[in-house]
Amino acid sequence: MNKFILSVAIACTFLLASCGDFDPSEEYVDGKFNRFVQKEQENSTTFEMKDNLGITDTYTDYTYRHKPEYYDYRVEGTINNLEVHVLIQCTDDGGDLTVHCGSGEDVKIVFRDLKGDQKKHKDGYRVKVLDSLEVNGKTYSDVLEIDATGAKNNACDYDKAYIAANKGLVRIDLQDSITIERTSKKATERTPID
Amino acid sequence: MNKRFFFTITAAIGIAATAILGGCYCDGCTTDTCSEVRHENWHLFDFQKEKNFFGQPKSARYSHSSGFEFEMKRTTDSTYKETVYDFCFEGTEENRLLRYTSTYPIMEIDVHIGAERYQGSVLINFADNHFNFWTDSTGKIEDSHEILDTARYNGVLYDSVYVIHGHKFTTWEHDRFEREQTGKVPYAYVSRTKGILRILTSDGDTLTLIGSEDNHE
Repeated sequence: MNKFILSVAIACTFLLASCGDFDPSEEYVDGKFNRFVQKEQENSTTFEMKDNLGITDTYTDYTYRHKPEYYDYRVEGTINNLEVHVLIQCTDDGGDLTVHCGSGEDVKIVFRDLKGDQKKHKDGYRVKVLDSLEVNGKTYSDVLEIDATGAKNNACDYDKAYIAANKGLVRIDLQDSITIERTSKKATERTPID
Repeated sequence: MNKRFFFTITAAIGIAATAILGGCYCDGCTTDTCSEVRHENWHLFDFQKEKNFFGQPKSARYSHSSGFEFEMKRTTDSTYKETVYDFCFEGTEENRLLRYTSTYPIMEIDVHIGAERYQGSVLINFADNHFNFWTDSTGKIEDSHEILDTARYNGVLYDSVYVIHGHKFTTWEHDRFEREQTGKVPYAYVSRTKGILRILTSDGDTLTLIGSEDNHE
């Protein structure tokens, strides 16, 4: 009987703390990627993006993050059938960053062992954390650049996507010539129902 | 924790599992036995195989309520089979998919065409808005839908326009936010000979046909 209790306790411990005990003062995601897991947050916002052809579109995002080891961000357009989805999770080796792409089928591009400010995937994709990026006259700090321009077969809807740690999607480049930028119009925020 | 407590817990889990499984069994299934399973294979009706099914073109130009125009091109035309299971029934259903895509803005309209024994189905998907209607084996749309005798879109007059009420599904948005959504009822306006004339989405956007390139070859 004692062995049974012990086994359950060990299993629960592994399930609840696969990366450790989540001491908020510890770092579970390395390098500048760590800047995306410095907040407790769950919300959804709706905001406006405008492209260089003059088309304005409404985007809806969903953010869930847990300090200091988890960040899940998804966003999609209303007119544009575009989706950007990125996930950062702790591991024993500095964390994984997964970019989900693919219309209809989910193609996962996983960057392992995060450190420094950038990583390159074997298939040619890159991710980089920029200290700042100016979009539409506004400067955003800690911006994740997802770069699919070097990919052998780009499964993403875009060439590049830029996600600010504290704001969400700020810019998308696609089809060589189109740039979609976040406008200064205030986003509307929805909080979850408990 | 003694043995009695352990067995009590085990028994409780067992009872709960039985209740859950039993509930499912009684709710969704039946205790009747099936003496003979009927087999049927449904095929697309002739009108559903037509290249320009319901007047759906090779490409079409639409205007968007946000003030731009775009081209929808047929990029997929494929047939596939699905297995259908029901009580005392097993069969296959032949389906056809017509997919229209716009390069930019990135948009997609899927027209799923299906057939059962006596009736055909059409499901139009656009940006999480879904429109479904049934036809008879000759292509006549079921009577339950409103019909406009005439309708003029972008200066072109169309006869007999069917108004199809739709609904919206969100694909990824968290359940806890979904309950707060207040979208409008989407509508599709469909012609038996000119295809999709107009779509009003739950977000308030409107796509309206300007003109199309016929598929007659």
